[in-house]
Order: sequence, then C-alpha cells, then structure tokens
Amino acid sequence: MSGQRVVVTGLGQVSSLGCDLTSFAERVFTGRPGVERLQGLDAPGLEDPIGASVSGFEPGTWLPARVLATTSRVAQYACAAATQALAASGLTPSQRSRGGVFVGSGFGPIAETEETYRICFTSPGTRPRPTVIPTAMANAPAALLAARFGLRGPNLTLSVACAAATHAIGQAFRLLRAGDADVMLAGGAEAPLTPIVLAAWNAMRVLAPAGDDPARACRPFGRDRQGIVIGEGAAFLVLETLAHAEGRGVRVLGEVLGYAANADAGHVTHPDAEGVRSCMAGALEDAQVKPEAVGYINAHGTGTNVNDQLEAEAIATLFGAQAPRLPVSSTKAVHGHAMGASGALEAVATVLALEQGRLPPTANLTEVDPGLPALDYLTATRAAPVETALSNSFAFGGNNAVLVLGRARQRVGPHST
Amino acid sequence: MTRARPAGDNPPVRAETFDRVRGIIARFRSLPLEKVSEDSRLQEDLELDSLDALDLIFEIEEEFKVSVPDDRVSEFRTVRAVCDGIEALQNTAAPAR
Repeated sequence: MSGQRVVVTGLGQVSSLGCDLTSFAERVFTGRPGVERLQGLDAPGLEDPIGASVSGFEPGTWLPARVLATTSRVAQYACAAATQALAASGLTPSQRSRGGVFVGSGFGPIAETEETYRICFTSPGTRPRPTVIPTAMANAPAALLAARFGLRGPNLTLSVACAAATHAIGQAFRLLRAGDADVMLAGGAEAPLTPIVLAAWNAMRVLAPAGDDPARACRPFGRDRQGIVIGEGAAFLVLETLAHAEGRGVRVLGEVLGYAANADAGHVTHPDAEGVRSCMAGALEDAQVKPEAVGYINAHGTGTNVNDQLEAEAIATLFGAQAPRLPVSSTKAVHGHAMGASGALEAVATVLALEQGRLPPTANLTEVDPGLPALDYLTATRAAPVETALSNSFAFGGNNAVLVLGRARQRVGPHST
Repeated sequence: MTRARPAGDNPPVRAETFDRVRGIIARFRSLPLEKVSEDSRLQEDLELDSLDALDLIFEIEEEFKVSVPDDRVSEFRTVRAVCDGIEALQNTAAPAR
C-alpha cells in the first residue's frame, strides 16, 4: 500500500530485564530471563507465584512526587519507557506538539482498581478517593504521556488483551502512512502482577509452575514447555514519517513496513491457525513483501501447548518450503508475557535485531518439541543481516495482530541544526 | 505564624482546627508546616488544582467526620475558609456521615 514511509527513531522500555534499553538488549540477546519468585504476593490458590517482575524501578526518577501520588504503576512504567524513547528520538517540544499517543494495555491500572475494591469491600463505610477514577481509568497512562511530553495529537488506548501494543503500533503506523500525523509515540504498558490477576490466570491452568529454577519456567516451543510466565513493564517506539525524520536529520533505527489485524471470530481463548496464518499473510501483503523476503519471526510464542503448536503450524503453512530455514524465536522466555505490553517489548527486540544484525534466541529451549512443524527455532543468538522480520501477537478474543518490520534502509546524518 | 486578625474579620479559627488542616495540607503537598498559613490560597499559593481540591476535601471529611455539601465546595478557596467551613459544619445539626 502506498503512502508515507514510516520509520522508527526512538526506543525505550521497562521490564524485568532492566529499566533501560541497553540492559534489555543484553539480556534478550544472551537469553537471560528476568523471571523470579514473587515474594510476598498472596494470590489465592497459587502456592508459589513467579513472574517477570520489574525490579530496581525508581518511580521518582521518571516523575515528580506530586504526580506520582495519583499515578498508577502501569502509567509509571509507560512514562519511563516513553521518556527513554522520546529522548532517543531527539524530538524537540515543538516537534512533539503535533504528535499523538497510542497505548496498548490489556488491563490498564488494574493494581489500583483491585486495591480500591479490596479496601472498600473489606472495610465497610470506606469510600473511594476522588482521585481513583482519573488514576485507574484505562486511558490514564496515555493521558499522562500526552500531558508529560506535550503530545497534542490523537490520544488513544487500545485494550486488546495480549495483542494490544502490536495494534497500537500498527494503528499509529497507518495514521502516519496516510499522512494524518507526522510523529506518533506508540507502544504498550502493563502491570498485571496483582493477587487477583495472577490467581485468575492460575485458574485457567496456563501458568508455568515455579519448579526448582523459576528462570527456566517459560520454555516456548520446547518439548517440556509448561505454560506462560506473566511479566510486566512497558515499551514505546517513536514512529514518524521518513520525510519528517529526514527533515530533522535524525538517525533511523528501523522501518514499519506493514501491519494486519483480524479476528478468528471463533473461540474466546483457543487460537485458530488459519486466523493466525491469514493475519501474517495480510501483513505481508500490506507491506508488499513476499514471504521469501522474511528473515526472522519474533513469535507470539507464549509457551503454552496450544499457542506454540498452532502458531508454528500457521508459520509452516504460510512459508511452505522455506519454513524449515526460517529463523523463529520467542523472547517471552526472558521478559515474560507482559500481556498488553508484550507486543511493544517484542517490536523493540525485533527492531534491535534488524539494526544490530543478530537474532535473539528462545531462552530455555534445549529440545524443540518434535511434534511441531519444522522451523528454524533459534536456541542461541545468531548473527544474521536480516532485512525484514515479522512480530506476531495473538490475543484472547481471537484477536490477531502482525507487524512487518524492516532494517533501516536509509540513514541520514546527525542533527544538522 | 500569625493567628491574630483585625477586629471585624471572620470569627477566629480555633487553633486545633487550623493545626489539623495545616497538617493535612502540608502532608498532602509535601510542604513544611510553616508554608501553610490561614491566608494561604489553595489554588494560587498552594497550587492545588480542582482535582487536588476535591482530594483535599475528601481528606478533611475523613479527618473531621463531616460531609461537605457539593454547593459548599467552591467556598473553600483559602485555608481560613476551609477551617471556617469545617467549624460551621461541625456546629450544624446535620448528622455526620
């Protein structure tokens, strides 16, 4: 589809792998998981909770104390990641003023909502504070980012479960491609490591048990895979039209080439291989990229039996004879399944892979499930100059999203101003 | 700190009410106590926006066990007005929440 070319000029993230991009890259490419036991978290029915929790996060580094008092954890993560991305982009306040914000989040400020309910229901007569609504509303993180950075363009929150951030990035891409914006801050944020959210996931019997070594709990595509490990954090990309990036002489980190979204229109939790396949196919068509041009897929790869089987089958079907040579990995083994933020963490990982010419492994993948179709499952970091990659996200609700990302094809010099 | 006011001004605010209100505001805004006087204006001097003011009134209701009617909220422009309002509400026959 013709229109403006859309490039990436800034990246930022907060996750269990650290609160800066360097830490994230180091651990993604060396496959060192950020999964640990969650001490002191009392999730009903879950005896030994684990998670990819953010550690070493200092909210005061990113927000003044006065704002923090009414800022949810998920919004704090969003602010930290966005601060990094915008700083990297070098956008000036006047350049930011026309920019929009698209935030993906499955749960929004669920920790604060949960805590308010707990207090009010367990202490009769206790009233919720007047700040509960503006703190805990689903779009509070997006609103904070607009106010904090002077981003006066369209400001949307996309709640699409585990595909939310991928949709946020994809929809921002479409807006830019159509020429309806110059600059967008797009990504996702999630803070779902709460007692009730964890307990509810546990009730679905999809959580990987802690075992002796929680860092090994999430094993996507493995013969011994045992489920998901929930993570948290935020990641943002600064996207802008190539013309805008060139106009200000900024370094381009990568390019968004295409995006597709569809729905299985079937079961609420059980994915459909055909829906997944057609979404990938749609994204390639949108990018006008042939399947043989794809050199890497950052899979949704949750580590559940069903997801990994159906996703691998969908990839094998779409890519045909090329599939056994197509590098595929899931970085969820290291940063966990950060729900609505996952797609953004994975898009960041994929842009870094394209930029740095190395592909991240699936950590903990020691023996590929022989029941999966033949793909080139990455078990170690691989140097590979890849031009085009897919980033997959599939959500409960049968909601699929796929991004086609490209290596920066055009780099301009440093700021000329 | 001055509490004395010229004759003809509003009735003197009880020290206890003022001290408690001042403590709430100072904690609320992370300010030293001496930065909050009876004459402090909530918006201009203490930089409380409309949402902050609602939250402050919530704190005051909890602290003093009073219920501030919606149509009285806009009167709370200064610390003195807040203290006067609390005392007036405490002296009314309306039962506390």
